Amino acid sequence: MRRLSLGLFLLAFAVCGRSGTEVTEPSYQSSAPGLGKVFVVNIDLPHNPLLMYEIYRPLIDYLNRNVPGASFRLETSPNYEEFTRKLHEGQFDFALANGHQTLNALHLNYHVIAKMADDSQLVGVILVRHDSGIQQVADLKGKKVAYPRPYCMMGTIMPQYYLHTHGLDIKRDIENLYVGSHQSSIMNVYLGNVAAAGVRRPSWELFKRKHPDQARELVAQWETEPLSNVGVVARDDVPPQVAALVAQLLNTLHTTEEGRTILARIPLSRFELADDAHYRELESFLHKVYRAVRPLEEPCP
Amino acid sequence: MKALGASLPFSVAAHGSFKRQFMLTFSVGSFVLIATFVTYLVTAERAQIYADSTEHAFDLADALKVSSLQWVPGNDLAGLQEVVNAIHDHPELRYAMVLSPQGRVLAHSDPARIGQFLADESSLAFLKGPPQSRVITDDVSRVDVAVPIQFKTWHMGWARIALGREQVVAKLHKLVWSTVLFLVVATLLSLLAARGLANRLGAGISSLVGVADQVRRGNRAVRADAGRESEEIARLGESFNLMLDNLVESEARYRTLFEEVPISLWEEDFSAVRDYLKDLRASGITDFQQYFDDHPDEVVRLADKVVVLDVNRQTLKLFGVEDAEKPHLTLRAVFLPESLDTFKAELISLAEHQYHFGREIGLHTLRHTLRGKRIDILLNLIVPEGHEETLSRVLVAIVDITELKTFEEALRQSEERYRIIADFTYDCEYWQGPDGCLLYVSPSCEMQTGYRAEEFIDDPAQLARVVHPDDVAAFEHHMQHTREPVGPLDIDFRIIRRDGSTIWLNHVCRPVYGHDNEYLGRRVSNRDITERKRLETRLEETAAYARELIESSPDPLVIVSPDGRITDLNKRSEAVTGLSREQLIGSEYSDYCTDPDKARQAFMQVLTAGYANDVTLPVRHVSGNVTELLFNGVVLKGVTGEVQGVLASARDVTKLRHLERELRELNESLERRIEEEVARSHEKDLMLIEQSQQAARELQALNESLEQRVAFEVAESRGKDHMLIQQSRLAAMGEMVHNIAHQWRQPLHALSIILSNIRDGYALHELTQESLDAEIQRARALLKQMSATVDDFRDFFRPEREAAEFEIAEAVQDALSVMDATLKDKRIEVVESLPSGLMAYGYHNQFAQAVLNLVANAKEAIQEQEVPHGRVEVSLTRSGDSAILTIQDNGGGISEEILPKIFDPYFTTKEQGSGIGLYMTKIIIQRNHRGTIEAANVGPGTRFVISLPLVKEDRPS
Repeated sequence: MRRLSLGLFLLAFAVCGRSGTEVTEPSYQSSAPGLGKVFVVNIDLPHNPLLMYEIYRPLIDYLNRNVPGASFRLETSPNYEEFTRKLHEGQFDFALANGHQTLNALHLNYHVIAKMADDSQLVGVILVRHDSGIQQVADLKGKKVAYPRPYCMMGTIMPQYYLHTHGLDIKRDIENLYVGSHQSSIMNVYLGNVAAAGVRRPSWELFKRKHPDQARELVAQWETEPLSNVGVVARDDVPPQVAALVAQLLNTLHTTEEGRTILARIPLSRFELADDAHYRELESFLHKVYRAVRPLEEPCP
Repeated sequence: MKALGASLPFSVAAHGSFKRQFMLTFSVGSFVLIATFVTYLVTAERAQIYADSTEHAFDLADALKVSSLQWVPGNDLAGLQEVVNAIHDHPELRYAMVLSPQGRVLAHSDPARIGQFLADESSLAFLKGPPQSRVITDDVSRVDVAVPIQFKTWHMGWARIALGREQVVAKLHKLVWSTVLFLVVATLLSLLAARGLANRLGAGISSLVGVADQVRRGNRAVRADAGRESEEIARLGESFNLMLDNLVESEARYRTLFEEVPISLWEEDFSAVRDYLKDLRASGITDFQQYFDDHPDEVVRLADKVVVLDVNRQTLKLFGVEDAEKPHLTLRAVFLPESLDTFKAELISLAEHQYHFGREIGLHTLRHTLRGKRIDILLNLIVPEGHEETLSRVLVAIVDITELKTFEEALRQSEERYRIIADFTYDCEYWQGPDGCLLYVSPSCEMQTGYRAEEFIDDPAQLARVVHPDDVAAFEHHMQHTREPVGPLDIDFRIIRRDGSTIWLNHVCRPVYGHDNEYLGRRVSNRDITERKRLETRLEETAAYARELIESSPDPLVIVSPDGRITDLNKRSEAVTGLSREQLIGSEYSDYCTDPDKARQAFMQVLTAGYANDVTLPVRHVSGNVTELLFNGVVLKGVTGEVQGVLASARDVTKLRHLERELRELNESLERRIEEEVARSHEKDLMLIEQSQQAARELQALNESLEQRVAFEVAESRGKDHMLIQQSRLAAMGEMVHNIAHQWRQPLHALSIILSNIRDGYALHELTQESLDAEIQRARALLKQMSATVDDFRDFFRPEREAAEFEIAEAVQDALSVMDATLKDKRIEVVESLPSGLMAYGYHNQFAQAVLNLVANAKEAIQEQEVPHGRVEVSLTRSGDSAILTIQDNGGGISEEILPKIFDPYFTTKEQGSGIGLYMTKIIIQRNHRGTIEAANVGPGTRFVISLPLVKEDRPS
């Protein structure tokens, strides 16, 4: 029976014999072990976060390799509300924001260190059909004009400001239709539903590439003044040497093959140095527009 | 038969021991088997449960990863926390967290951890590792896994899940205790079953053991109790009884065999010998051969110690012993002195543990019965299996081989006598078995062949290999017959001896049969007949020489036997008689003489006198003609002097008799013959005249033939030209296809655009009947243009059958228009100056093709030289009665070395060129248009100048 008992013991041991290693719970600490300062870079462009990540992550990797003693982490914002919230809370150290948000940042302990070039692309155009016979702004009197959305800067406000400055009372002389998107605005004028359509130039260029036959029947009859492109802001407490180095790296990005590859993904020809004064001028201009057309509340993609 | 099984006492100790061991073995065996099986099952189940738990943790972490992917790029902590909260209530979840690559907590099932960094070693270890799914902790209480959050190649963080295993452990404990309980119950049941079986088996086995014990003591009548037939023990008892029956039967059979076998069998006890050998080994003796050599007395002593247990009847008969005298039959009683050597060998064999010993030895029987008669025996000593250790039973079998030995001796002597006869024969003797093997080859074969007898025995094919190549066929033919038992055969052939010399052999063979008429092969005798062959050859040569002498005689020669019959003659004799040799041999010689009596008299004179001279005997030819012969005869005698016949030689004197008459006739006809010769000379003159006229006719015919050949050659030459023109045209066809492709490219592109317009218009609902008609109209115009292109090319390459006037400028334009698209494609500028009104006579298309060849040549030169601004200038001018067409390019010119050859046929410097383009151009210009063409390097390229006669001044007829 002793042998039998021994066998039973061995069986129990074999079955229950999984290593009884001591269970340790994970421990935490408030700071990252072995990590230097991590600068958060937020991208204020309301696109799919993963798409933004894919476009701008190489830029962040570039900064990480070229700014010694610091590391940069990319954050994207799913919408303007979220970006605005983070901006007010000062959650990020650097941000790439459109002109409107850049102006907001200037009032929230951020300052401009650089900006995207290619301002000339940031204009609104007013399209008419070739066969419409519309030559003068005054020809639009009594007709319908399409825009993307009411508060779209380049597709709506700037074209309306243009019409305003060229003699039209946009509230009385024309009927304003907000059709939801730039593409919709173009199709409305193409199909003859409206006499003219406001749209930003990049959207018009894209349409021309994708639908050259249809685009040949349209003409960009008028073009608005350009706005300032996306600005790069840094929080005021970011070490000046880091901010300066980031600005310099962006300013020279187009001079390297790697930099040009990064810029091509955005797409952009280059970054350039800028300061708060540049956007203060923009602010003055926008105030003028505001007074003339409508209040500035919502930026437009 | 008494069944003892039930009545035998059964040992309590044995019974108890068997029962205990059976129970122990059965119970422990059952326990081990069941325990092993359930342990395996439980272990496998446990591993599966843990693996499921781990997999579940990974599934949860994967879900967390996927849900977090949209929030991580934006560092949206609130969104991430919502994701974590969604799995917060998962059973056994210890914690869930989303981490940055650096270990910062972005979301956690304990929100207080958000923003903190992981600091424990295992966490830091996995953070440092590559972004791969991994198990951080896996033990009895918890499984902790992490899955990387990745987007494309960027590592964006970790999803980490820890699940507790309390339920898993509880489930396992329940499983183990159920298994243990099952094991205990199964073991107890097996113990009870073993006890019952042991009780029943023990009783039956003890009964069988008792029976076996009785049998061992010699009781062959005892049998086991097989009363309970259904049980295994009962069947075992039956088998045991059956085995006993077989044993009794076997013993009886053995006894019968032992007694009746015609071999002397001895059963002996070597136990004392075994003890002695054991002592020797114990004392360190290892070389028993040496020991017994040194101690012969011990061998004798050990022979006395062997106890003869039993002998059979054949032994008594062999050794002449009565039954009553069996006790006197000992080894020493039958041993001869030399028998002790055999016994010593037996001792050594047993000492070395070799238990089978056979040897021929000599023994002799008891003296008082057979008076010491010596017998030869064959002895075999065998130690039966099971008696190797004790040697208590040793079987010795003895066979009387005295007569066999006597026969063997007689046979040996007989063989020796035969071998002496065979070995010392002069001829090469051998015996070849039915299978071709050589059973015997006499040594004398070496004298004949140079090869030893063993070489033939080892390789019978050597017999054929020594045969001379010229005689191989005959030898093989002979050997084919010898494969069957046919009567004596002989053949003469040559062999090549080992030293390379050749000798003749007379080969005689005959079948050999055994006593039972069995065919045993062939006995062969080869005799060297080289000398005989040499003499035969010499004799044949002498006979041939004699025959030649006889035949070469211009006179008839005849040999006549003493009885007057012809025995031999030469061909001249056949000619005289008109009869063949076969007809004449054996016939009476006098039958052919016109005077047989005179012939017989002359013959008798020769026989009596020994000779006869100049006897004239006319001989009759079968045709009836008579030849006068002058005979001389001598007697022929043999070596011993006997008369063998008469040799008669005869000379034809017929001619001699006619000589004077012929001379006279010659003189008489001389004058007449002179006249005949004169007449024949006149005929020759007439013949010469005729021959002269014939030669004139042949010359005329030859001239006519020559003109026809010239005409034929000219025609053939023209055919070749046409062929070359055709080849050139085919080469141009390739160029044409290339040009058509270029001509069509633009309209095809336009057609594509028209089709796209129609499609887009339809898609955009803009397609109206008017716009569709307009597009179709445009498409038709393009297709018409393409069709016209094909027509132009077809007309250009259409062969012309008749020469005609043509406008030179128009032909040049045609050529340029064909090349137009290609030249534009290559960005080659064409500058032309082609005034109209210059007419030539010839072939419009051929001329255009010639121009095309030159322009194509210019294009290729420009391409080859990669001239950036290619240019071809074509100008037509008038110079007197000729039109001058100049084609100048800037393609770098032609090497001065090859310039003179460029118009040669098949001359080309191009890798893919045929070398007929410029040649054909020259042929077209010179032969078909009576013009000239020259080439020269001018400026940056080559200039071709064509001169054509204008039609009004010089029209070819």
